[in-house]
Amino acid sequence: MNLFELLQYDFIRNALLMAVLVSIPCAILGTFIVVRRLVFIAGGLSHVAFGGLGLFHFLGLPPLFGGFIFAGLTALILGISGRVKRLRQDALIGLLWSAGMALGILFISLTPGYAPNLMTYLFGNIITISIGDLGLALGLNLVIIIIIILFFKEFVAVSFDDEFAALQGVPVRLFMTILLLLVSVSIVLLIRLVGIILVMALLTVPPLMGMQIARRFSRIMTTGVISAMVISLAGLVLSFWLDLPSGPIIVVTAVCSLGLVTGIGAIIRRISAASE
Amino acid sequence: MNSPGLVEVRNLVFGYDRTRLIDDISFSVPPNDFLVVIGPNGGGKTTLAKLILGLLHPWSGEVINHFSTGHGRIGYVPQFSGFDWQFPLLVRDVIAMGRLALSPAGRRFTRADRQAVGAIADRMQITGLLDNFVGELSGGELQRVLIARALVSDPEFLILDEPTASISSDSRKLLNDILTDLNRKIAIMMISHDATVITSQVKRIACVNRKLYLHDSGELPADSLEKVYGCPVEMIAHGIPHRVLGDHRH
Repeated sequence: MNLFELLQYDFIRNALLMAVLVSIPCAILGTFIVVRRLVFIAGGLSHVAFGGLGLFHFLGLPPLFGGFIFAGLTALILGISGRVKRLRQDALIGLLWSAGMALGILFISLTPGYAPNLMTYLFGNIITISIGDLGLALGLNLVIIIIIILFFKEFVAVSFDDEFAALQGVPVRLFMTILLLLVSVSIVLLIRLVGIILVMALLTVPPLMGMQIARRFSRIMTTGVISAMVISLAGLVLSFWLDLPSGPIIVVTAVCSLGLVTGIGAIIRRISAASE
Repeated sequence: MNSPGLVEVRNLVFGYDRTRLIDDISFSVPPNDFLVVIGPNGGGKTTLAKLILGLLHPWSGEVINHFSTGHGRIGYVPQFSGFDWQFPLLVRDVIAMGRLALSPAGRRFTRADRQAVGAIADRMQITGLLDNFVGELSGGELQRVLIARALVSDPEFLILDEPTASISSDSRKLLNDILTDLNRKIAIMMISHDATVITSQVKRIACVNRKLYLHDSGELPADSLEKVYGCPVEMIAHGIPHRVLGDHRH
């Protein structure tokens, strides 16, 4: 099958649109996560989300809302208590990480009947993306983009030097909490596409690629968005062609692209250094 | 006490967990003061600075400001070793952070902000570095970027934490000139664990080691060093310029 034949299917068109939509928040917030070294916290939030997913699945409610409520509450507690700074290496995050997974698996096991959804949440499922899902993703995208653009200088200041930002009267904990809440939203969006286990690759690879190409914060973000779109679209198309699960293929595409870009960058730097 | 200073510190007590690190410290900073705070590592110098800045809240006691306006009037130059200098920011981005108090949330920096950044960079002699990334700078250059960031909000009082640590002697000389010039208009409090930084323009010296011992001249009696450090001989071996020791009376 070629690409144009594939595009005749609604679910494939929806999946491709979803890939484009989730690329935006994952690269924007991924840049903050990578630069501010919040990768471990983001990982914790995504696994906590699984606990909520399981609970809502068990209760027969929309699972992704449960995921957002659990991750969002955790983000709120971490942000308001102002513990983000110290939590980088903290055992508490490791604890949340496992506890979220354990709860999720338990609730899904307790749900009567066959539990096919477990793998879906862990590794993503793009077959069932509806127009409604796309609308929700579009709305959340707009919210994230508007908040980040409006308060960009405050978010950067809080990430770079929270003490100095506080001296300047910036409400540091409020902005950190909002940042973590937006991270939670992005994670839940990404779970739809690649699943919990693979979320971290899509939050880290685009900004890392952005850093290979650009150096200023805002440019890393925009380059990251484009990288994320290319990666997730290429990964999806590859997975349709090869008939392999889309989540892992997207992640493998991401890691290979990063390796390629890093390698090319190193060669270019070497050549330009030699010609000087 | 004399007339109210720019900043008055009254009976400050603070600690971490249950251990007192700052034990009943009182002093006042007059306008145009140049106060150097020395003392052993872990003696509470940085903690005292953060209490004055309001970044930490004392167990008891208070810090009273007599500034003409509200926020951003204390400039703060933290220890630059504590930063992640790989952060993808240009020098001009970092200095502009000193304008956050003057620039409402939800709005971009204005032309006036950018002009203020340019003017202060000129004064710190880092105009040529404005479009460099902070990761490309030397220690002395980073120090001047942090001072520019503190000064761009036009403070009445500047607190510097270990500004001379790990910078070259040329940078140190430039820094001294800059501070001397600044001190004509604003009060300065400079923290140092290294007593050799004390230069001729220093007006007062305070030793902080849980308590604060204030000396109302740029000279330091030998016995007070003994009280703070517990070992004057060792201090001399560390190379205190002799004039700082003042008259020895035995």
